[in-house]
Amino acid sequence: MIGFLNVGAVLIATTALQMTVPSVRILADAKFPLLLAVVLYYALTRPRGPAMAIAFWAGLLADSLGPMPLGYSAVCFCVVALAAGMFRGFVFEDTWITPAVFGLAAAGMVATGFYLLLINQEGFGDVSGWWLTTKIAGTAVLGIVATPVMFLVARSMDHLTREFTRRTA
Amino acid sequence: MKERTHYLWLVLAGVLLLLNLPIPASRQVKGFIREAFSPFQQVAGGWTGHVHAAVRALRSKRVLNDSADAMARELFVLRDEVRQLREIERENAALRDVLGFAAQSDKALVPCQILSRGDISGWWHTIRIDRGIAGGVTNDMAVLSFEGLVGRVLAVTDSTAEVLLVTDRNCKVAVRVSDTEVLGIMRGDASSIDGAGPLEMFRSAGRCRMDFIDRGVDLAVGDMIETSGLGGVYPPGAPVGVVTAVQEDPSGLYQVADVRPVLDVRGLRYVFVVRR
Repeated sequence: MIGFLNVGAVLIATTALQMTVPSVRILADAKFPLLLAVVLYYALTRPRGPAMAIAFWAGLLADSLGPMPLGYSAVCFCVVALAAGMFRGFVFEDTWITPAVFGLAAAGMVATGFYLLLINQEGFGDVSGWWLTTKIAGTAVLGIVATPVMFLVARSMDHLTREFTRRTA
Repeated sequence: MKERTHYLWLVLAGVLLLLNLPIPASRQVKGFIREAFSPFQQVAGGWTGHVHAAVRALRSKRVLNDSADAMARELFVLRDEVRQLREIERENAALRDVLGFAAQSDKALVPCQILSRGDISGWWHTIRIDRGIAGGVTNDMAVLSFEGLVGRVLAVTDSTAEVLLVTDRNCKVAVRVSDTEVLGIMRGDASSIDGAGPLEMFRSAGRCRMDFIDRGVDLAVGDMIETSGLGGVYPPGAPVGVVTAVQEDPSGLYQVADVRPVLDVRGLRYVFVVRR
């Protein structure tokens, strides 16, 4: 139950933060993929089933709070969670490089996935190649920055929860 | 292992369900989650407001003094304009009485505070405001600021609304060149017409494009663009932007122009929804 509340609190706080942090104009309005970083963290630290469920809820939250059609973020986040789970063995604890590399790859994948899903929507079919490249590369670069930070936050929350459970047990 | 597979199938079914939801059901789900999330957003928006206030306080005294002087001058000019407009309104009402015309305009402005800037995914240019259905806000209402047109209401819940900005590629506005009848359609986030390279694109993100301008019209850099009122969504006369480049469309049928929008969402805290 405490673990469930912990994940819920992290998801809600991260969503509120992602909505507040402005996009980076020179990177084609790319956003820091904070929510994706959290999804990635749970995909690497939780069993596959719960990790997929977390990815689904994170995607549902993201889609509900913006104009993105319902289900698009959920699909992308679930695919990333599934893919990240396969490379769980390569994660080295206590280093920022692994989350940074995972963040780069996952953010690039999700930005590409969003474009492929949105390509038939009005306004997205005629975007310039430069804009699209900047958007995908920019999101990937922001993923390098955001993922280690969010891993640190989520890990601290996990640690707090463990401590709380240990003391109350 | 069995439980894990169970979870996966459940998530897959959930994703498929979301993707195939009919639009009204999808709107209901979104509305429910937005409404539930709005308290968190208001807290986050409050913190953002404190950060903005702190940044403003940190600005040098000289900048603040200059800004105060400029605002005082603008206030003086605006008060004079209001006085003149009231006089014209009185005269207009008297003439309508004489001619037996009913008053045409019953528009009201709903003041709103911005809760968040930018779409959560970064693929749309939107803001979220703190008024919704309960405040008389509905879809497709125009949104204005002191500077000019901000956009239109895209989605609405009981207590919040999402506004699509004029700088978004999906926002199309019927516009005209100020004080003329030169018409066109403006859309946001368009690529430049003057063949500028990618570096130019980075510098001037948020640029707009005005299409379908009559070929025979002499349009100049620096001309002001305002809403034409055609289409019924946006009120006429709201400033939208300034022409920065003009060129004939490759089809040869009409002219196109680059427009720098007056809207700068970064400094914006309050907007007004035009209630019909």
